[in-house]
Amino acid sequence: MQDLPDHELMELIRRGDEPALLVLIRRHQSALLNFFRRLGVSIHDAEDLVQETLVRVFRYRHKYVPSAKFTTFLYRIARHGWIDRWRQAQRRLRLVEAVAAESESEDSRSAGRMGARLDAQAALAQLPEKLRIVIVLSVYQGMAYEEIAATLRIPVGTVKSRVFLAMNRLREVMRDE
Amino acid sequence: MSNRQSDPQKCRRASEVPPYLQGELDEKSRADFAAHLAACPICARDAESFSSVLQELKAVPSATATRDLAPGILERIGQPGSPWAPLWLIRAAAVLLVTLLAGAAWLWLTRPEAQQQAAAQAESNAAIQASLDWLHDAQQEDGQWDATRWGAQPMYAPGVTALALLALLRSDDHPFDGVYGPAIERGLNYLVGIQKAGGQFGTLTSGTPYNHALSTLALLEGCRHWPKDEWRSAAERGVEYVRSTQRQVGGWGYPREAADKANTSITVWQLQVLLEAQANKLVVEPELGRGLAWLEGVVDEAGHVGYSRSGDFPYGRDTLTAAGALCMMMADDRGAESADTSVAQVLAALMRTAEQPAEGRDHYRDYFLTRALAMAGTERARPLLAELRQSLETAGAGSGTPDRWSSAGGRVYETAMFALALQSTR
Repeated sequence: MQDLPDHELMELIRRGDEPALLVLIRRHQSALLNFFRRLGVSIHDAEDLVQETLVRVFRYRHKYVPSAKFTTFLYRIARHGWIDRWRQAQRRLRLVEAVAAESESEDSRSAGRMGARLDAQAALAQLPEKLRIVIVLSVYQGMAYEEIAATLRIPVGTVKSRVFLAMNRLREVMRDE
Repeated sequence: MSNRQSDPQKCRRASEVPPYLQGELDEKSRADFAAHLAACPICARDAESFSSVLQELKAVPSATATRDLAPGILERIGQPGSPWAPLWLIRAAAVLLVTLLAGAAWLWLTRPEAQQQAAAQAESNAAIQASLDWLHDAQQEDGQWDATRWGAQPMYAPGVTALALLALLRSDDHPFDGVYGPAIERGLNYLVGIQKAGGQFGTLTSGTPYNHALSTLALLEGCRHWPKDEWRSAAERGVEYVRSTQRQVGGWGYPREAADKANTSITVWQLQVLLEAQANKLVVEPELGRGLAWLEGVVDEAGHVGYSRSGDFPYGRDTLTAAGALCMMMADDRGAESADTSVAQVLAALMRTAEQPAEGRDHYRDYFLTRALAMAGTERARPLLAELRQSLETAGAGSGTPDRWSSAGGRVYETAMFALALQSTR
């Protein structure tokens, strides 16, 4: 079973095969964890998001079409989870700003720590969401532009222009540092 | 022909540098661009600097999980609705769990934290399941829930049916695949059957704004899982009715009240309809924007949401504040333009509200508070949500716990709201 491709594992999972799910989880959990980390998520939240994503993969197993690449399906779900979490974080920041007594919250402290960790990662964190995700998918997840386009449901030309814009911004930020 | 633009520092082929470096070009394009690079100092400079950016990015070390994530995933999956957790098993487990917990409460206190959390989740699921099973069994053959039989005022009949449907719809990510699927289908068909020519659900009474919004919401949520033509058409007409009944002032009010009167209690339900309709790609503007603006207008300086104007709290302020916070956050999530300061103020008021001990059971308050806290998802909200869940579990056999609104909604309202509140804490 370890050697089965993703789409065959999904077929087994659809039929309720638990060992197949375990193989799929263990195959993708590390890459997913790094996907979230490189998007700037803390390790604790990244682990939670990995679990949430793979639970959703299971829940939406009937929506997966075997002809589509599994990673496209997987990272589309992962991105949705991240966006939800990011919105929560934004809301949290506003709340923290609104309540002065909470200005020393865990969130603001962890955001500070995250920014100072690594030059390249700090530069990545400064990119707008749309640019950051194409770099993460392309550089770290090893996706071709066409697959990124399918995952994000945007044209390949848009992926190309976003990667170019992102590279320009990264170059500027890294030079500034 | 030159590839250079009028700016001598730019080349129109510069955007091809990253795909070239990342191996995205086919063989012919790659050879062509390599020849261009040899002749274009601008692209050559970009290639050098982009290459160094890529190297630095790739040098960031990989992260490793602090624990094996698979057991947690399997545990989360093993919830009601999963093929690995069939209904009879869940019911049997629920009965067994309640018995065990009652008999060995001291053991509970000595369990490790993780086990306590898992057990709390299981208890919460059992309580939800008991409520949903009761609702399932109480449904009439024609798909409605009999308001009078279960102690509700007859004028709220469509509303209690819709509330029960919402609870069943939120039981699972794929509600039509589960055991409640046929009941949901019958219930939604019933709602379609009672829709009037003007789009409203049921006869026009003072309860219509609630009945109508809840019915439309149930149909919209049903369509999200199963977009049946007749449901979608009924939902669209329902949304149009909501849009057409908006008051000049921007809010919504009782049907026979003066045209300039609106109140938050009714408005929040209409806003939930429009927000759900927006997610279903229906046209909801300008009514949604105007409705949200009205809502922001009744927020006082402390962030509490008033009933008909700022500072007006004839029935208390907790539920209104939680409901207002929920609508504002839903709108915020869907990209609606709202004043950030209002959202932040209302959120801060929401937290203060949740920290106050509740005076007796109030399912309506519980529903909005749990949903809003879950949506806020802040560090401060999470323990408050857990506390509320615990209080609900302690309170409830799942159904038949009266509150101050029971004389209007009866047992179906109590049970559905209880389930909906607990579902929000998951």
